[in-house]
Amino acid sequence: MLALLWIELNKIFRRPRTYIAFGAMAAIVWLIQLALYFDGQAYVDLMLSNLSGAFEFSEVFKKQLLNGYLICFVILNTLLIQMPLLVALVAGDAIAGEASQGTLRFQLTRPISRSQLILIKFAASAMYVIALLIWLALLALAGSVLLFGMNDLVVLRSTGIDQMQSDDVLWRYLAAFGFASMALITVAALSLLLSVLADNPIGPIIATMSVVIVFTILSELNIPLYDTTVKPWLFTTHMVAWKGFFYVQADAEGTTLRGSIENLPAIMRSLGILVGYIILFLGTAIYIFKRKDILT
Amino acid sequence: MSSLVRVSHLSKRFGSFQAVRDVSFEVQAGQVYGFLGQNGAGKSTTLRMLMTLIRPSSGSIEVFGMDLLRHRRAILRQIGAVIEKPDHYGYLSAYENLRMAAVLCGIRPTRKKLMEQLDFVGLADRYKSPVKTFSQGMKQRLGIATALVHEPSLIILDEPTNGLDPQGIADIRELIRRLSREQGKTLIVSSHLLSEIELIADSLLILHQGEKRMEGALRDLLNPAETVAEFELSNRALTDSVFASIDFIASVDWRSEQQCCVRLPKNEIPEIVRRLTEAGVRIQSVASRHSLEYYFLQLTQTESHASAVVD
Amino acid sequence: MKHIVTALFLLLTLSVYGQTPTELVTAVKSKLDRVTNYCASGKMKTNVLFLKAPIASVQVYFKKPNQLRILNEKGISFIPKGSMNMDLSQLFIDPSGFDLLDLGADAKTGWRIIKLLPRDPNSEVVLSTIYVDAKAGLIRRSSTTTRENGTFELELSYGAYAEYGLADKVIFTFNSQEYKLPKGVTFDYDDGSGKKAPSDGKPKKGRVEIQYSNYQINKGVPESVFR
Repeated sequence: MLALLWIELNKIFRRPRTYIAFGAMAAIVWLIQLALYFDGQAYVDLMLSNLSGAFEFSEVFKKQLLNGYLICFVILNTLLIQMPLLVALVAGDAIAGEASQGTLRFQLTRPISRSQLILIKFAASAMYVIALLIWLALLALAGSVLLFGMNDLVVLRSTGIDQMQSDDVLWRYLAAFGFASMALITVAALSLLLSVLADNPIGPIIATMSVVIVFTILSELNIPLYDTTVKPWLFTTHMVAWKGFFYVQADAEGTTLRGSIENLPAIMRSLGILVGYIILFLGTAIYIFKRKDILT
Repeated sequence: MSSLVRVSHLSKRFGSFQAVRDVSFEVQAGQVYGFLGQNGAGKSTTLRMLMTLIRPSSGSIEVFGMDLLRHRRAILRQIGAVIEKPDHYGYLSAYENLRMAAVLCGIRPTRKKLMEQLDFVGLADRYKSPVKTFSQGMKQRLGIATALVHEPSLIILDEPTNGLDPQGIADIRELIRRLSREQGKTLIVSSHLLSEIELIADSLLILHQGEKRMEGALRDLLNPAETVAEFELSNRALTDSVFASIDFIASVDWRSEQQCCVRLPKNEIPEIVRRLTEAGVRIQSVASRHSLEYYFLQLTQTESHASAVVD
Repeated sequence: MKHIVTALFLLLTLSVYGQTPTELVTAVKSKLDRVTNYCASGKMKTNVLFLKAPIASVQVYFKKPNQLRILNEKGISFIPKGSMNMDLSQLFIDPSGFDLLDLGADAKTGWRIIKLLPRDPNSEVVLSTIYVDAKAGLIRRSSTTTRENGTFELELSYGAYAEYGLADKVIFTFNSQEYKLPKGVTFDYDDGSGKKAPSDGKPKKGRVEIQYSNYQINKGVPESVFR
């Protein structure tokens, strides 16, 4: 099994196009960092415009606010919505790509079971996701901290502002990256399921993105009817739960409680729902793949 | 001899299309078994069912005395196959593709062993090159190497000479011969060319429109004593009356008013020509084919006639 | 007769209150005037409805006449607008002076309540009310209403630096506006708890509490900190 996994990883990481994803991510991260390095002031002003009536913001404050931790948060906020595409590029290709190349025959005429093959491909996709996130952590977290320094993290939410001290942030990022990996692994499982249904990798990649986009729009729509019926069950609603690690508790006087998480049970519930989706997607993929006639 | 493969009443339906209908056959150990049929005759579908790529709609397949679907992994461990065209990972080298095939079979051959196998198919000097730089013939040979990597006792090659130049075809033919004669492997080889199958197979099965049309040992089917004489002549009615009086004629088949095919013992051709000439039939030409070729041509021509009508 | 009654009344009031409002204010101001600059360390606690912030270690710098800067060198602190009103000398800064209105003593604390009405009609400050502990000569509480930034309130507790009129603890209350960002901007994680931002239309009050320690008075403060 390990040897087979090694083969799959070898296939993924020996392919030049795998690195397009890594390159694309580096490009986006660097562009954001570059923009904020030279024009961070404008961004901070925009961010604070809603607050300038009640507070005064000195240059020092703005500089402190625009620290590596905040920039990493901004990057995750923009990039984690785009990353499903990069995941679909690999996971959507896992079966359909081999089908279109004809190499699926090469594998399925060997003495390994189809469910084993799906599980191996899933494991390889999951490891690719983790590699992408480690890469992202290096660029967005370590890179931003090196460039912009470390300070307290101020998170703007629609209903308020959560501030946590700089030495109370790193563990939250570790947890958030961990959660984000589960969220993206859910996308990988969906992509793999769609990949089983197709004989050409373009279909599952586009289909994955379509599902993610439609679900994300539904998740963000403010329609009361959907709030309690549809939204709680969309996996995209729960994919952003990594942010929950940056929502802190405060005491009665509004003082941030160190090391606190506002709603850990909700994050765990989101995690549970994502795991449920992974099992559902994988189970369906195995069920279909075991019965599929390989005609390519 | 024992049956290595026993296929009974195999059928496959894709929606409303019946790809294979009630096909039964047996392959004996040590044989080179030929699958002959035009494109779309159901050869690939049958071979894919043998490799568990396609689930049969009905019928059963036994390999090595075991039910294929129930003992899939144990059976596949003993089968090597190249189905349709061999496909490899183009960005990996020949050596890496071969090693990958081995790992997929659950074995870890030594480097020496893998190099020997590449040498067997004549690719040892190119083991480092990415497969995307290979010619079709080299890919085909690498395909055979990957099919052999786990030393299977049954080898299935689907159209192994397709798309190859004459030298490539000769190379593959030679490989098949060596596998059969030197290594005692059992092979199932498909082709749409009788001339190909004729040169390598011991036994033959002709598939047409998903159905089995003919099966048997090649030396029986290619009975040297029997032939089919194709006549081009003038008077059909007169000819028929001559034929009616001859008892060694097995069958007569009129293709047109001037053309007929007569199945008869080979050594009787001069006799039939003499009788026709004596009766006053003008013979424009006479050609002799062996009966299998005639039969296969008949299938093919019916097909092309049908497609011409459609066109 | 009428004059006698007035004089008697005045006498009576003076005996009750001891000092006139002008005297009181002068006494308080002279104490404050001894400080031309200071630097103090403090722990700042921010209590604003929509803000969760940690307790911050801050340095507070002051320089006459009206420069005040709260700096958090290690971390980030949200500083309310009008934070210069945290220094009491702000109350008396109006160059054209003010009229005093004596409202007598607070029934509970006995602090004298005096209203300061700026004479300059264009003054930013509309009205200040101070609660003066007459015995100690210290302002215990103040409330300043401005044209632009609403009302600020100060509550002060004194300790070691009382002789300079500098408090150990200041609670600064200010008008915090409503805060709301569209969800489409923040892409919030909706944890399903269905919490809504409290919005009852009343002006929101924010509170900043600074516990001072270690004043360094009149030792000089570099101009650079106020930039």
